[in-house]
Amino acid sequence: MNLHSDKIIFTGPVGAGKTSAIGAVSDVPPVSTDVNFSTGQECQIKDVTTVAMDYSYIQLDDGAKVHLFGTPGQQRFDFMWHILVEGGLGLVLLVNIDHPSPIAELNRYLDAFQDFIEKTGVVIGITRTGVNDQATLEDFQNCLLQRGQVYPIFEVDGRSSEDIKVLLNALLAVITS
Amino acid sequence: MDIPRRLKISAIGLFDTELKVLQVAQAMLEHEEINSELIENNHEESAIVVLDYDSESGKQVFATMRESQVKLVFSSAQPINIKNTITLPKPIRVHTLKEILTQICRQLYDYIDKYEHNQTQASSSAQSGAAGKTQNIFLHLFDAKNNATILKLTHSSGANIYVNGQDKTLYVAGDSNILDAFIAAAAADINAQVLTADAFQQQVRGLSPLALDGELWRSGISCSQGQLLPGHQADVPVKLRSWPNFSRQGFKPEFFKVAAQMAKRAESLEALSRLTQVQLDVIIDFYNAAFALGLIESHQPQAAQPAQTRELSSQRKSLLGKLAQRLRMA
Amino acid sequence: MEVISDYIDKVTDESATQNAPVSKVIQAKLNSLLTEMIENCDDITGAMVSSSDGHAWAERLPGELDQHRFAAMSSALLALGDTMLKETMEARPKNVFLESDEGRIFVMHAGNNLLLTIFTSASAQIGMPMAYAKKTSEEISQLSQSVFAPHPG
Repeated sequence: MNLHSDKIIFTGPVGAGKTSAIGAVSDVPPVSTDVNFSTGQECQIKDVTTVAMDYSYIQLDDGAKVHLFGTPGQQRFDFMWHILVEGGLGLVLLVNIDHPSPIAELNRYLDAFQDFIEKTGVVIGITRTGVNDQATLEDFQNCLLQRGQVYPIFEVDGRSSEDIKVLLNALLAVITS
Repeated sequence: MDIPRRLKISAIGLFDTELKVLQVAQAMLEHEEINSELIENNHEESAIVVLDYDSESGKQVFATMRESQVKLVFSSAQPINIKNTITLPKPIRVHTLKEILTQICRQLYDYIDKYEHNQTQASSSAQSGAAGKTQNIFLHLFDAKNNATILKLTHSSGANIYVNGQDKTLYVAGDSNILDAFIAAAAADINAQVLTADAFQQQVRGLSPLALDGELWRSGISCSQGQLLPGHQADVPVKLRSWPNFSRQGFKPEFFKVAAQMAKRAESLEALSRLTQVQLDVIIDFYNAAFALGLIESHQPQAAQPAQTRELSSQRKSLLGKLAQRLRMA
Repeated sequence: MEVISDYIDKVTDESATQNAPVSKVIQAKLNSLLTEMIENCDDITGAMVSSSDGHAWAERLPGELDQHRFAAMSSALLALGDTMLKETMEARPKNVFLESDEGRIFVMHAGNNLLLTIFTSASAQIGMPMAYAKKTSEEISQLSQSVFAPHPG
């Protein structure tokens, strides 16, 4: 029996598209623990945010499962990040390019998951390009160059199964290299 | 624009004070080893045109000038944001003007050097072979980017592509099938002709620019056919400094393994082929295209180090193999 | 599908809401509900009101517990518990109950958007604290209806 589950973890800031990405490749729709955003002020806001995890899986021919977990995006749930990556195969980091400071987010997540990434691997997906870009692909690449890290980094549409497959293929190549 | 070695600077619509300042500044250029002369009211033949935008004549002439001409504008108002136009706010000081003129002239000299070099290259290759170098589209594009040249590439069917190695753009006269035709074409079916910047601008009028890097990548992975870029060797350690943007630029399935290995440590292409079990031809396709995009760094030969693969249980390896099958791109 | 600019405006700014997610008036009322509950029931040694997305609103927590972290954990726990119950029993969630040698923690809903978390000692009875907590959660729920306007639909 495997003590560690065979799982790939999707992380990144709120709105990067983690839930969609998992849904784009999984065999069943993801289970989410989404709740409404609150302000504590007058109006309730419609948006939802993941507070514990998203979960789904890919079923392989021989019956084995690869579990797909999405972490909550907000920093105060970082205890979930460490619970979810424990024993995992690798990390998919999605960063939405329309975030007010996408490069800072890239740095933040790479730092937060550094130990796990060094043991396994990471692939970075830049989502939501072409609407309100706050950085360029080159900015992201330069960030990695400055960090001295050569990680796969691709522009992706978080809802496209073809694009998410590119991410996962790269992650597999990194894990097994 | 014909740029002779002696740089002509013309003054349009300058008031007395500014004209005197310009005369003094221009005379000082000699100390910067810049050969120039000041001419009045003949902007057609000038390398640099100095205009006073506050004067009627300055404004009028400015409006008629080509984008490619270098314009130094004296103005009391806002800077003018047009290509090749520098705005100096009044009052104009001799020293400031001299410094700016020096910078402009030096850049013009660099441009002249490159232009003359390209002309020489174009004429010597026209003499040496059938209308220029006989090579596939990838190598033409690579040369254009490397040498910052401006080219017109013609296919034997009559289709044309315009390549600007200076601002790294590419223009197609027609639809994208034309690019495919060039990629599939034999080297002998492609003719290359060097163009001046002005001729280029005229011929691409109305066409939309594409990024040169995108076509470099596409042609690199398709046209290399096992041939390394000239001067490159398969036994020299190389390393990937940045992954290509596979999701948008295209890839072959083996590229993931190759890139992952190349990103880890410096290896020769031959060693990579052994490590990844990928054919050397395919690795060369990847290498050429990645090199053309500036994604490869060369390394000095290192003492052989044992290749370290991550330790995975056989169970996990088998699972990952099956997952890879499942995720295989169509 | 939201317009991106709306989305950016709506994303909760961590630093802005961490310290003051709720008006002082509401906070004072919540504090007094918690104080009353703890005074009336000896077995309850600590309590917190937090939002379902993990912000602390009012607390009477023992010792040096970090209220912000604790609020986030409560929300994650209850959300997971809710999901499990929905998936397995198609049941409406009541609360999540943690038990250890050092004490117990109960996390329960208090209206649609708030949670009430209470601490009890390991040896305390379960019935009494639960009853007080249930009553307090209903009062919190009523109070919260004046804070959260109904959905525009």
